[in-house]
Amino acid sequence: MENEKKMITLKSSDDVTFEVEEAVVLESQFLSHLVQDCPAPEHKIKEVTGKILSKVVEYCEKHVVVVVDGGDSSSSSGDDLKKWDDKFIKEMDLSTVYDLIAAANYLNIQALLDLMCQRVADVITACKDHKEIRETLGIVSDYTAEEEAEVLKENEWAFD
Amino acid sequence: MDLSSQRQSPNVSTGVRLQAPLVDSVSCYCRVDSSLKTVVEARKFVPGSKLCIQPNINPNAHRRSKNNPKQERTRIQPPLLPGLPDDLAIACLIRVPRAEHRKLRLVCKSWYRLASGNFYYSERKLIGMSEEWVYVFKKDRDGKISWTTFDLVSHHPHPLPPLPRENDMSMSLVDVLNHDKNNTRIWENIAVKGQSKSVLSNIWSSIAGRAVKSHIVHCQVLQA
Repeated sequence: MENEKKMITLKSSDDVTFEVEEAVVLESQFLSHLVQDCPAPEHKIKEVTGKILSKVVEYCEKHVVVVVDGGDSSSSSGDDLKKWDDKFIKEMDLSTVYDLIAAANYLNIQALLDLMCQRVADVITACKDHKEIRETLGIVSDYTAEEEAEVLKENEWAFD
Repeated sequence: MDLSSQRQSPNVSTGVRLQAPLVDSVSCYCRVDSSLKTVVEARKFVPGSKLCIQPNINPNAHRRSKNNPKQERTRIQPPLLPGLPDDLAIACLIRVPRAEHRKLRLVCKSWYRLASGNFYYSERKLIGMSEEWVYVFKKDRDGKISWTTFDLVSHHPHPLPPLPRENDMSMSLVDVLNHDKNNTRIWENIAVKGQSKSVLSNIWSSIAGRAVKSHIVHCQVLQA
């Protein structure tokens, strides 16, 4: 029990500090290595801003609690967790999603990385056509009109 | 006690690895010698070492060759998703459902290359996202061949345009096989060309000849 309650302070690139339980930190493979290797009370994560780190901490805290509670009613907590995940990503703008993807990748939190990548995929899927995809994601097309027409023609015969 | 000491040593080395500064491996090692005032004398102690004096270092020695067009192209290629490194962008794009893939190819050239390549489908397979569709070919009494496809996830038929009748066509299927559940992953592109009838019989005999179950993850038909 004492181990579970051990607190660790994380400091973002812009010096915002977060005090979290060690169990929360263990959600991130990178941080769990860091905590094991350097038993300092405070760890600075230079690559992640306070805004993004707060989201990461929020996600990890939620997921730790549910895993611990999972012993009692695993199925309902799984559903709850999914609902929570949906809510977590619902109002997030794309740049926050990108920053969280980079942070989850850097901190090695696979579940968060999967969730955020799926969010981008869902945004793309929700677009009605390629023009909307370009607009939403800020992509400049490098096709000439002829090339685009050719791909369009090719697409009539590609079934995937 | 033994356990803890054993645990400690790999941890320490991991810590060093985490903290290590990025090393520019292409930088000239001559810098190491900069503190040696008398290079000629140093040479005495290191027989066989080449004489290298700082001001004479050729600045072009490690410059990337301009004759490598592939490297040049990679460098100027726009990112797949502006704001994300390409490896993470690919992690997002492989999660887009199969029914949307033709939209992806229309977005820009780099997306086209990604969504048309075998790499994309093998990555989808790797994360368990590959969706297999069943292609059904039918031949009516007049010998007219038609086809349709079923999505095994939603169990919906997807409409397909009529097959070209007498034209030359080429058809390619990306086949992902999984011989053993551990890690073996093989993909291959079966492509055939010719008249529609011979294309169909060739491609199906090629698939039927396989001892293992085939997983077609991508099908593309081009009219000549």
